[in-house]
Amino acid sequence: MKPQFEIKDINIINDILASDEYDSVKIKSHRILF
Amino acid sequence: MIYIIRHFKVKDNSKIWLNSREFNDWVEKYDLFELEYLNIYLPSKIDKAYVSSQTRAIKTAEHLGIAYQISDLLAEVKSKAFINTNIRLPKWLWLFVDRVLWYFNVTSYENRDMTHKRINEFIEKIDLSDDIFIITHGFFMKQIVRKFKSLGFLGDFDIRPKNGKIYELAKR
Repeated sequence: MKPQFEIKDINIINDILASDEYDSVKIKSHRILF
Repeated sequence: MIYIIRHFKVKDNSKIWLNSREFNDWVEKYDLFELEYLNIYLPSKIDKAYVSSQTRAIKTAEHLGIAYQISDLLAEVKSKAFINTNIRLPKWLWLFVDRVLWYFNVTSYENRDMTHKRINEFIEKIDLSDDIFIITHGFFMKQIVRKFKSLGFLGDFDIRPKNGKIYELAKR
């Protein structure tokens, strides 16, 4: 039986972080941290 | 050769904590924010240029001064609030959950299968023997590049595509 989530699926994390709207999240996060 | 670029960076100073309505409004407005324009060197030969129908991609194409065709098939995968609530959540959480739901094909709007379908539709419309220039978006770019690589194209990419950087894919 195929597992629900495979190691290769971790790519989705990088994909999410590459999303257009996520750009502004990163900028804001840095402002909070620093 | 395929040249692919993510539109110029969007200037966004909106707040972090949003309820579902504010999040959906922000996603709509995001496309209309100003961009951080760059001057970049274009490839010496471009047979055809295809640009996402979203404003930020079209503005990028206009700045580059290229002749282009607009395609809805190159738009960013749409983000939408996964629940209706007045509780304010951080933007990153709205985005993260929405994309995970996309991945597992449980979104009621565009899911992973639908994204792959439109990628295939786009690729069927273009001639891969041409020198093609594509202006698109971060998340969508990751998906379409994966498809090009499965078709035998090779090229170096950043884990997170940089805005305004031209990435090259050459047929193996």
